[in-house]
Parts: sequence; C-alpha cells; structure tokens
Amino acid sequence: MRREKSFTKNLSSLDEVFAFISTYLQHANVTDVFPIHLAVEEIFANMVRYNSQNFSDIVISIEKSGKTLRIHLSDEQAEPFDVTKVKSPELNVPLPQRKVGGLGLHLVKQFVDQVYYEYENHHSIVILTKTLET
Amino acid sequence: MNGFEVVRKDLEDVSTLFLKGYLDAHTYPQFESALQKLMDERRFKIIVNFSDLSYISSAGLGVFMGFIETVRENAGDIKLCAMSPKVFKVFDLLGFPTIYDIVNDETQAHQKFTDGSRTN
Repeated sequence: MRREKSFTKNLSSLDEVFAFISTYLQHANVTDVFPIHLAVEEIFANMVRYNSQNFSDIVISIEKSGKTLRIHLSDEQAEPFDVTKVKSPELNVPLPQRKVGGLGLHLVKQFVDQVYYEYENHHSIVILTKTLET
Repeated sequence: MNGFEVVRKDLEDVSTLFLKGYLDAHTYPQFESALQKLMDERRFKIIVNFSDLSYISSAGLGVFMGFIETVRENAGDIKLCAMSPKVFKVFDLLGFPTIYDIVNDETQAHQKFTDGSRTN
C-alpha cells in the first residue's frame, strides 16, 4: 500500500502532514508514530526553510513493504540542497559554543535507519527508510 | 489538529509553563513568546512542565537554547520536569541532560530552586 499527497510549502502545513502520516501508519498497524513524525517534520521544515523563494508543493509518499517503511519527500522545484550533508552538531561543547543548526538532522539519523538525497530535474528528494519492529 | 498550548502559573518568584500538545516547527513561536514575556518581566526562575506535551522536535529544543544563557546570567534557571519517555529521548539524544536539570515532577523542580543546586 502506497499513499501520496501534496502539501503547500509552508510550516503551517505540518498539521496536515502529521495527519497524513498518522492515518497511513494506523492502517498499516504501526503504533510508534513519534519517530516517524519527527523524521518527516525535520526534513519537511528544512525543505521549507532552504527553498522558501519558490511556491512549489512538497510531495510526500509513504509505503510499507514487509517490515520496511519508505518515505519520499520531494520538493518539486528546488535548488540542490543535500540535507544529508548538514554537519552534525557538537554535543560535548560548553553551552555558549553550542549551535542550534544541525540538531534536526542529527535526530532524523537517530530515528530512521537511512537518509538518502537525490536531485533530478529540479526535484530535490529525500528518502527515509526505517525497519519496523512490529 | 494536534495543536499546542502554553499555560503559565506563578508561585512567588518561580513561574511554571505547562506545555500541551505538539511543539513543532510551526507552533514553537508560541512557546518562544511565553518565555520572552518572562524575560521582559525579569522572571528568571522558570519550570517547564511537560506532562501534557506529546511531541517535540528540534525547533522546540532550539527555544530552550535561545534563552538559557540570559536566564542564567540573571541568577535564574530553567528546570524541566514530567517528560514522557519519548520526549525525554529527544532531549537525551541532543545531550540536554548535561546542561539542564530534568526531574520527575514539579515538586522536585521547585526543590531544585530552593536548594540552589544545578546539574551544570
């Protein structure tokens, strides 16, 4: 079962994004929604922040096959920006030297198994895969 | 709609912010405003109660980073309490327990201010 939906490239779409993901996961009998919401939000928010100058949609597709969950987030008209290359934050430095940037991607990498980036025909695509325990 | 709410309660010089719902990249400005209001009122002893918060992402955690230095420079602190295990995991993965006092409930958080003790 695969589902796909387009969302306006704006942070106010997040509620709809969460609803779309939750509905799918419920049908797929996946109960641990939190890590999936977090991974999708962080990538979606990055796509909004780094390509806010155009008004293309972000298309999200989700598919569970066996124990593997695959989620594609595609910005349909974007400059290349490889979110997977954002540097992880240094977590062992004193407070004043800490930086907020990169925290989101660091979390994504903890909550899903793999994060891929592809750029083709002005489409910036991030693919998340996670092996489910259930 | 997941929604997000912040409710504030003051007890003497300590202010508690109760967070409810989803603290994400869209809702975090509400939390930021609540903390900014406390800064404007020069109330620097702050407890954040997470008991009704079901979700947090990096945008929410960034808010804490934005205020902690000002708060501590003014002899205050932000104590965090009553997190669900899932919310705690996010804080833990980003190394927050070494910077913030994270305790089980509000009574312990108040106690931390009374004792004057701090994790870091």
